[in-house]
Amino acid sequence: MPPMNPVIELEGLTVSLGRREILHDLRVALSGRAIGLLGPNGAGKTTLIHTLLGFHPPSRGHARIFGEDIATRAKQIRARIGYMPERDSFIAGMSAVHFVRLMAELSGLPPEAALERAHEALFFVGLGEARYRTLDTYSLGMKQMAKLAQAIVHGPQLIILDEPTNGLDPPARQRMLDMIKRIRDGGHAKVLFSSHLLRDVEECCEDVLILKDGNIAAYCDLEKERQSNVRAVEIETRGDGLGFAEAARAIGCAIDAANDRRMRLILADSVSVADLYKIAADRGVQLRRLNYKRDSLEDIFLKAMENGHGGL
Amino acid sequence: MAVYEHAYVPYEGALAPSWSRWLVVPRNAFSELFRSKLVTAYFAVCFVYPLVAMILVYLHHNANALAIFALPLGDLIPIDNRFFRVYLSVQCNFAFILTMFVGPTLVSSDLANNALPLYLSRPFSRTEYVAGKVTVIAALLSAVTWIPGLLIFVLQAYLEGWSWMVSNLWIAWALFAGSVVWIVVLSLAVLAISALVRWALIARGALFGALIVPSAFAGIVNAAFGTTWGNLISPVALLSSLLAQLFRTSHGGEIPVVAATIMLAAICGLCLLILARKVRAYEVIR
Repeated sequence: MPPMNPVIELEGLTVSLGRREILHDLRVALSGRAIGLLGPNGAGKTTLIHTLLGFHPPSRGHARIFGEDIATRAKQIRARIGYMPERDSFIAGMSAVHFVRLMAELSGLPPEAALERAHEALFFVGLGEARYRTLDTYSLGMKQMAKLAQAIVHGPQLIILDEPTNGLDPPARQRMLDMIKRIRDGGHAKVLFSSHLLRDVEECCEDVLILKDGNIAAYCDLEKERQSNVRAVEIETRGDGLGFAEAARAIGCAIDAANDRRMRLILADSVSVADLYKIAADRGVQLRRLNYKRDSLEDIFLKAMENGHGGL
Repeated sequence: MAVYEHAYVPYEGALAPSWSRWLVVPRNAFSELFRSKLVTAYFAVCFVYPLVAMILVYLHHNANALAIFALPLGDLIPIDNRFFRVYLSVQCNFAFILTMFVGPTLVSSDLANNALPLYLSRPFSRTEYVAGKVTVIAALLSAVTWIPGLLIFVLQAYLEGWSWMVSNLWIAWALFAGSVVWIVVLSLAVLAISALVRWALIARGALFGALIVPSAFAGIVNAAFGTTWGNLISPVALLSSLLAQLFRTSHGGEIPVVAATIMLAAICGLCLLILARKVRAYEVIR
């Protein structure tokens, strides 16, 4: 069943560039406050973003943002979107405040309101003191922040960020992620965050769409995915580890990645951790470590990559 | 959102009408252009000849002034269709040089700095982008061609009388139509070249080459084959043919006006085709 009020709906979306089909029959409804868009290089993340912005027409199927079809309502949709491109994009010789004001005016804000919002957006991203400097003199980190400022200046309802942490040093990266989280938590705008850095997506996003070779490899709610794995435990043993594994299997535990010292068990509903201690005691096996293992985004991503398209 | 709050707040104020959004581009471009002293100075120089022409018109109708300068009326250039044709030819040359100053940076800098995705990810179309950029050049060139030209015509009509104006209204039309044709050709050519070449200096050279070098080739073709059809490859000669027809100063050596019009339309079509291919958020490598 599709989620309530999806931000983005794809219905058999197929996109070809030239004779090459880049996105194949994508079908998904994305919701949530912050959606991560993941995939290896060449998976089609940027093509999907460009299609949502109306840069590439779909060759088949439909894409809707806030219920409006991108093929027929592109301008109206773009008025509700803020886009931060991956590559360096600015207008040479312009001060940051002039640049952000121009972008606000192009989004339809009257000149006075555009100037006021430009100042505010630059303060928000931490460029308040440098807002009268020309963009050419900015460092890479400052340029990224200026790009974010132009993406939010008109107060969009959906902010599309294409690799926003690219090229940033750790403090700048953390500042960028904090800002994205503040926008997300403010609840005024949804965020679509495309990145190949799993940690960044894990830190900011609640839902994740994983693309592989132009297909949907997985779409999941990260928190639900983690909770579904709460019955997974990691164990480190000393002694007859293989015998312990055999006994655990006999009471209904699924075991993967086992060797005689370390193993990962999925507990059956009828099995508790106390049962594992009992088996260990019966066999004279020491349990040196027992952790509940929650799937990290990396596990989810790797699983999606192994499974190919079709979901987890 | 107030600056001290540092919070993200959506914009809830009124929006400018969507039809007026393309005007943002010329408004911004003008403020940038006139920051250059060179452009401002040259733009001022472009009004020297119209000023001289106005003085000439004034002298024609002021016996006192002629007496002061000891100028017999017969020595002055007559104010007729030839006078206005010369005026427009001179101003078209000024317009061409102004275009070389201003035009090449209009699109090329956006392409070189990858700014088109920023424009086109907003409720702003490629057509509006091109219209905005054309407006920048068209407004500047209008200010140095037909607008002062019509002012001179009005001054002459005011001083000469109503009957002169009625019988010479076609000169006003020739001024306007000739200027518009040259403005459209120049605007589209410079934008197309600046979309193809991302470096302003090379784009300037390319514009000069595209409009002036063919005139030399046309001259060679005409001389070699004893014809005037070589002018078909020269935009300057095409405009000259058109102006000769419009101002009724034809001496029979021009190519037919229909052929000139078709060629100029073809040049504009080619420029639009280049703009349609190059003005995109991202270029697709096929």
